[in-house]
Amino acid sequence: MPDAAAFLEADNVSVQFGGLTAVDAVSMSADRGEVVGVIGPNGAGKTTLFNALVGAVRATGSVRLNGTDVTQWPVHRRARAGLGRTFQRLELFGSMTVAENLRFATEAGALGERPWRLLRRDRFQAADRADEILGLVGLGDDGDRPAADLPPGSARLLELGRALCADPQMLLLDEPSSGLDVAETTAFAATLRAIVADRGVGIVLVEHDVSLVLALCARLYVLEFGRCIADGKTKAVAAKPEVRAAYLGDLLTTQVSRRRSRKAIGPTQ
Amino acid sequence: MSAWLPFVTTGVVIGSVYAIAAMGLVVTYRTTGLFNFAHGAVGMAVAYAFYRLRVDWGLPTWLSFLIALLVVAPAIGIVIDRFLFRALERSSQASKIVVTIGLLVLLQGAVQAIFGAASRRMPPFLPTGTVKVGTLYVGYDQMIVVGVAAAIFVLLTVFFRLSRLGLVMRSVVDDADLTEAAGFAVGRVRMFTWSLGVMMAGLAGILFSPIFQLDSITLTLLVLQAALAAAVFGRLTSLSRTVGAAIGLGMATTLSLKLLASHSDLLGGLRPSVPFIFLFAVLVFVRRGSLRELGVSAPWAGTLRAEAERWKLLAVGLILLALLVPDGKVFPLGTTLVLACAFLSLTLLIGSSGLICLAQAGLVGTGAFVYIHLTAEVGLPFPIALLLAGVAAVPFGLAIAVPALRLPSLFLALATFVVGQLLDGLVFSSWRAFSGGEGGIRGTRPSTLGGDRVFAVFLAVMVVLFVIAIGAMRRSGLGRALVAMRDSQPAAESLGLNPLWPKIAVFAVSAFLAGVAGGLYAGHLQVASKTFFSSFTSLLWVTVVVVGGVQSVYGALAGAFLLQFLPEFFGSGDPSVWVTPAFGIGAVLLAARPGGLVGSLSRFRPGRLLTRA
Repeated sequence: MPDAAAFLEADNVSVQFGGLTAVDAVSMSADRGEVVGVIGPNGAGKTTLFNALVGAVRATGSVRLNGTDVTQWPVHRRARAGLGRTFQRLELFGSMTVAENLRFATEAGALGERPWRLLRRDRFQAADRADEILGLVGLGDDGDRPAADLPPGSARLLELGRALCADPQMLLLDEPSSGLDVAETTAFAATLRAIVADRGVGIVLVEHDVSLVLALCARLYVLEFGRCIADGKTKAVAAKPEVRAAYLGDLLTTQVSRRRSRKAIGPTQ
Repeated sequence: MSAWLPFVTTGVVIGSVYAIAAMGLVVTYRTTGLFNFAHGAVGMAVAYAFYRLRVDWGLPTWLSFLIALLVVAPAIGIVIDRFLFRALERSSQASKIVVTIGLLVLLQGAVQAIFGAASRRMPPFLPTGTVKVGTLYVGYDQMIVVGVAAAIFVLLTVFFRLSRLGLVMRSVVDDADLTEAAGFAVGRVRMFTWSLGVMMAGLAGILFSPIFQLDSITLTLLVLQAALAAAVFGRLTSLSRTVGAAIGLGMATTLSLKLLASHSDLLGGLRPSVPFIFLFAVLVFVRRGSLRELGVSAPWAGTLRAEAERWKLLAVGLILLALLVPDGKVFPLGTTLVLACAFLSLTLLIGSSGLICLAQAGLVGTGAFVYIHLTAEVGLPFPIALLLAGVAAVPFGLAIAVPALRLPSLFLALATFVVGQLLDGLVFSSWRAFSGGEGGIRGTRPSTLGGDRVFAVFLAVMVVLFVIAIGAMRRSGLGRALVAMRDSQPAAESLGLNPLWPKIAVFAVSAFLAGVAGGLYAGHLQVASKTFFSSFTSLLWVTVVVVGGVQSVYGALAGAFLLQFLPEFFGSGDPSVWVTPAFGIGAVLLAARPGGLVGSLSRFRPGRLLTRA
């Protein structure tokens, strides 16, 4: 359970869009070297919670990174402090090649810190780190392809690799397996395990693929209507009937709950 | 107090015309998501049509009025809908901006080609009698204008709130496919909206024409300014706030006339700038995220290539050209090369960041005036004056960058236009000691570069230096950061890049190059006048650069040669009569392809024309 020293700690984080409370007083933590899952039905506020953690939406409550209060920090500063992310809707640099995507990621933080560095040519690119990660995510043969031409599965891997190139301590992955087939998902899980084991990176995973969540995550947070309805060790959480109803297993109750959530939140989500 | 009343009345009347134009813009933007920079130009064109029918052909006023508003205006609206909007629906915001600016350039050029550049006087057509209200005389014409504006406001409000069609119009921009699927003829709704928008712009143009004169540029800018100001205050969506802002704008204009009339020249020039000062303040201080763009737009697809490797070939070619052209063409070639430098400063900005600056001519002008003062009065050596001309333009580039940090690209383009207007109004027009007023000021070249041919060779070298500088910028961390931000700013930030610095840097570098180009301009022409650097010129330049292509430095060169050098070889007369509209057409056709002319030519394959890219 969350001890005082966890790398990422969020306290009472709430996000409001107009009159709608998308995230309602959620507290969570994740440390280096562990994989934590965030699950819940569509529209439960998982992506909004991510955006609040990285600083992309205005939120109340507090977020701490490595003990420092970063609640007022913008996205790029939190990123330099070790918080990386991927996007549910792909956000690749489409006019660059795959390798250029990774190489830029190795220098983005350095360029972001000191403006005059912008005028230097290749100084802050770590080409060997980019090459190593290119191999790690299994895109070794695609380095020179335009990123815009990648199939969706490879594009997910490139986003993961690009986030890794910025040398994060904690990675927030938003639905990383969507667009991957079964074999690719298995390989992807192995890659994530290797990242956690070899680099000591922590991962917060928003994911719909139940088997992937159960296989990877040591702990789970379950969101429903923006509220955290359960959290704890994966096995214990997965056994709770209200969690099964909200998300896992039992199809019938899942559908009932989705219909409820649609009524509550509106037709768009 | 009573001395102020007439100005208040006039202010309300002018504001009502502004309101009509602005409501037209809001109606089209709200339904289509396309901000029509040509809104003023279509209003101007309808006013000219009215003039032709009524004055040239002698038709009765009421008939001319009906034909202009109910035949000509909807026809223009349908053309915009069919040929522009359909092609643009899902393209980038930058393409949309450039295409509508292209339409503006095209319409202004076409009207000027048909009616000539001289302005015309529109005889008044509304009743001229007055009625006494208290101590104040109010004209029937004034009451009619205010009444018409009020009626339109009420009708539109009721229409949008209550009618079924109004509801459909509001839903179209949110999700056209869904609206279509719900069984509404989205196409017809859009066509209707465009017609309505053009009619309102045209009505404003017609009402303005007896107050001001019938002049294609003035009228275009007048209607556009009004619409722009009101639209920004009304967030481009709220009719009531738009009307309120328009009336306020009209009053600010006339009251500042009263307030500043008795003051010195400096303050007198302030008057036309008053609305723009307000506008700029709003754009700078508006809460982040409160100005949002409507509709779907893709990211800008043109990427500036780092291709300075070929600079040697370019250098040889340009220098040979400067040495070999016949004597009579040396000077025009020099002008072309100067223009190429100015265009390259825009290519750097648009090509690498996808951001559009509509104040570039003002930046070039600043450089030109500073260069002349530094060489002629301070007596600084030529190269230092040239560098300082560049440095002098940088603060204005930064003034543009400030809103760039907070605004989405459409509102940023509006902000740059406002900066251009302020440069023109506050610096060039008001500060006569700096700009020399209408006549301009004379400058000199260094004696070693005195001859036209020598200076042309020097300019060729400068063009090559600009190309090399742009290539170096593109390959630097700044170039990569800009491409990354343009492809996906959220991703770039999530990797730790602070989006502040690259934007500030690119505007500063672009302004510096523009300022240097201004110094070259003054050195080549040996004169600089504010008439060269109007905000209208900025609009034309953006069109030309995008038509040439922003993916390659050769796009700017091609644009400069097509605009300035090629017409030299086509007989006598003013070639701009057809060159300007040609670029307008080019922008309309090419803006959806960010490669522009150069990109299209270099990728040309026979048969590709059939399979639309």
